[in-house]
Amino acid sequence: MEILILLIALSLLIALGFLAAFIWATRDGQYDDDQTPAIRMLHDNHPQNAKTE
Amino acid sequence: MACGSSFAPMDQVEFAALSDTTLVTESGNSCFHCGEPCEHEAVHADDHDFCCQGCLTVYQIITQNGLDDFYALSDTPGFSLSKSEKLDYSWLDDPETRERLIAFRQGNTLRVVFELPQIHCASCVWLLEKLYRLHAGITQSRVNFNRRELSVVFQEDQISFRELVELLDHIGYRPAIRLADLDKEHAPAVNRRLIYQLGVAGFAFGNIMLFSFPEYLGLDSLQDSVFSRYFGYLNLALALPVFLFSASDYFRSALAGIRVREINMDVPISLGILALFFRSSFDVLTASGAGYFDSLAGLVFFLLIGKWFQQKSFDRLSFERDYTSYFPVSATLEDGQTRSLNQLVPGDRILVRHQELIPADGVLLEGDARIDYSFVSGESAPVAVEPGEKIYAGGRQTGARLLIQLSHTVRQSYLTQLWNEQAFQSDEKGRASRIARVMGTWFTWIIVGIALATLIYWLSVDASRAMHAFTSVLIIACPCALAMAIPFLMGNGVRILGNNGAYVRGPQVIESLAGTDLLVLDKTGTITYADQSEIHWAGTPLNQATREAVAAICQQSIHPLSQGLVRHLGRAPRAVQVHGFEERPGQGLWATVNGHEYAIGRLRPEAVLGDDQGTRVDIRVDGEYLGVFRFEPRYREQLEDVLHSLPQTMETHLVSGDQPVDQGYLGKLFGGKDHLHFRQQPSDKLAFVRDRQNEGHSVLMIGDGLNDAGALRQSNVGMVITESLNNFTPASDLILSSLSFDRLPAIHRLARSLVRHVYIAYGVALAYNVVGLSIAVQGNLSPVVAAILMPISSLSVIIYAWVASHWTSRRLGFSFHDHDQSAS
Repeated sequence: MEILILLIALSLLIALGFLAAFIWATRDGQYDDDQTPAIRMLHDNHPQNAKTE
Repeated sequence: MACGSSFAPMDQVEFAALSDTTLVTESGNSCFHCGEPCEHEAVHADDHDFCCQGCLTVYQIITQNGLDDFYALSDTPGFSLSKSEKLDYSWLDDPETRERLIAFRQGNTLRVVFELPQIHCASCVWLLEKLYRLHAGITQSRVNFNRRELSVVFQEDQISFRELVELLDHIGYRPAIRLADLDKEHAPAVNRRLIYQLGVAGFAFGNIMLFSFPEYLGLDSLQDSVFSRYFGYLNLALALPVFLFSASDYFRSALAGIRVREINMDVPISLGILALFFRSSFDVLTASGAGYFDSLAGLVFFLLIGKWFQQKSFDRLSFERDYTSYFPVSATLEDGQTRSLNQLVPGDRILVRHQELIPADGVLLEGDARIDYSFVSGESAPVAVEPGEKIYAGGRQTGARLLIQLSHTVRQSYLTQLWNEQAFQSDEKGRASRIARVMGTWFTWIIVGIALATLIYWLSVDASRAMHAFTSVLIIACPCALAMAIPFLMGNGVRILGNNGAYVRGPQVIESLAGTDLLVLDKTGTITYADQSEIHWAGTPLNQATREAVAAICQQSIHPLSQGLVRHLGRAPRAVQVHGFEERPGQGLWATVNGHEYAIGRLRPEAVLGDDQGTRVDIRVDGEYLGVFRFEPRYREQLEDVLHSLPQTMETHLVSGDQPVDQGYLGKLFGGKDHLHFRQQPSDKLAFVRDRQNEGHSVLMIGDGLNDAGALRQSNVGMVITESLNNFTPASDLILSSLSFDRLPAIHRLARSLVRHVYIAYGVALAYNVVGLSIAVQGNLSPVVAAILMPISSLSVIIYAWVASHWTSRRLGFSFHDHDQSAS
């Protein structure tokens, strides 16, 4: 059962990794603007040409 | 009409359009660039129609740079450039002004954030983020759609700040640079602290629950104490950042409250968190128990979610604007140079053109001044000023160019004095929920009382359990569920109202709104349409030919009154030919149709019918005076319905800067002529609101202009009505889109029922507390019971809040889904 101690330590490490990723994402400004990225992702390199049909 | 073009003045555009080998198209087509109907100056190129040369130029810039996709992403994404004047940006060359507008500078690399109210669709985002293809000096541009902002990084040695602004203006996005921009600090607008706190608390909550599993399942009997001690220490380590970082704002707020001798809801919360942390640490370190760390982390996590939920804000709206956001940044000096408003000194002579704002008090030197003070004084009729007379800041000139000698600086002008009133000095209004404060005070005393009684009881019976029972009471009584009620109910309220065209500054506004019992309305622009008027003809009846001739002449002019007349009379048939058209600014239009000479405008013959009040257009044909078109404000269609469906107990008053009008009609609506107050100066309006408050009323003030700013500030809830969310609105608590004016009674009713639901949610939370307390006072609260009871009570409140707010909004006919776009 002592192996559990190691496993739990490892699982905690992974969780800390996710926390670090979250903090990095926040610091990077990913939570600052939640609307524009949704519009931006619709822009292909060449959305030719919806209008000419 | 105020949007931008940096192109030639109107008459030249027309010339260019005709000489440019492009074809004049049939009317009925809409512009490929901006979607406006193509009328008399339409041009045709590349198989597309354009309403004016300006739109064509922008189209050419865009397509020549390979940015055709702009037109593929949405229909007619551009902006009409035909109806605006060229702006002079030379004041941007002044280094001091420029540096104040720059957000960040490193050598030649500059970053600037522009407010572009025109941003409205996917194409805008796309085009504005491709600016680097229009000029090599632009390195990067990013749009924040919510805030209608564009952040541009550029190289100063390749494109100057002024050139950048001119480029944006040129493609139809005129940056809104206001006097306020020169004063503000460039602080990062987004507060990320709460997001960090939430992340840390969530992380700790999940992991602590994991390590508490043996405790939940009663497994500790199976294992020796090695594991439980190991888990205990881990939990302590995980809970430490929650206690020190995530929960810190609650301690701070509680302390701040106590310092001003006020016990708010954060006091019992802080007590609970402190009890949880120290009791649990003691249990773990002395190996006497598993501790309540899971409850601690869960509590803080839930509380922070509530805080985050009610933080929904309307970034693109500003609730804090004063006159500096209304004034432009620069003025034109007599010699044609432009200068930033901050640098104007008494004695300067400035030019004010048609539709420009008077920036500071002064004396009129020359020009035919007809100043529209409606926004500052509420008076709807333009005021005529003779040379040598005083002229006040904030008015808008309609007509000819004026030369003014300033007598005051911008900051010392008459209008800006209003902001020295006391109402603007205090910043406390509506900041904290009154219900929560009252509740917090009572709750804290009761809990502390019960805890002390428990302590004393157990000290006399079984001293070993005394501390245990005491801390248990504080833990279980921690008003987490209680603290959830307001954020979730009011947070939902903010969203529902936002989806229905009413944007509140914060959740506490809903609570204040529910308490209001006296409604004060401004007249011009509030109960009348700001941009529409009813036109009445007074004089000799006009025959069809004359009507068509007048319409045909007015079609040649972009003056708002001409446009209004065209709408009123209908467009003239194409067969009507206009010859010798002449527009004299500030006077009117002269032209010949079918051999008759027409004069349309402010002609002031002796035979005018009595007064000279109001906006009017006289008609003269072949020297004979026919009569006058009067422009009268039109009352909002829903006005009667709105006033009738307000609660019976609600008093209504009309407070207007205008001359008395329609007293019979309005008196009936407002419950008596003594409820109508005319000729009220901005400071009178403020005093009126204050007097009513001193009588014990809670006042809801609805206005629209700077003249209402004082009253809006003084009132318990200040509401602003606006035709377009991009317009300037004075500081207020609630911004109401004019499309939603008819929802006013429903908005008031929603606020009242939300407050009622807050009390019911308090009842639910207190019921859980009674159950928990009855266990805790006996001194045998186990960590598992706490870990179950606290989330369940919080969840009950959240679910209740969700159901109640949905049900209420449906009952009152509010939509729960986002219709925001239609209002903007």
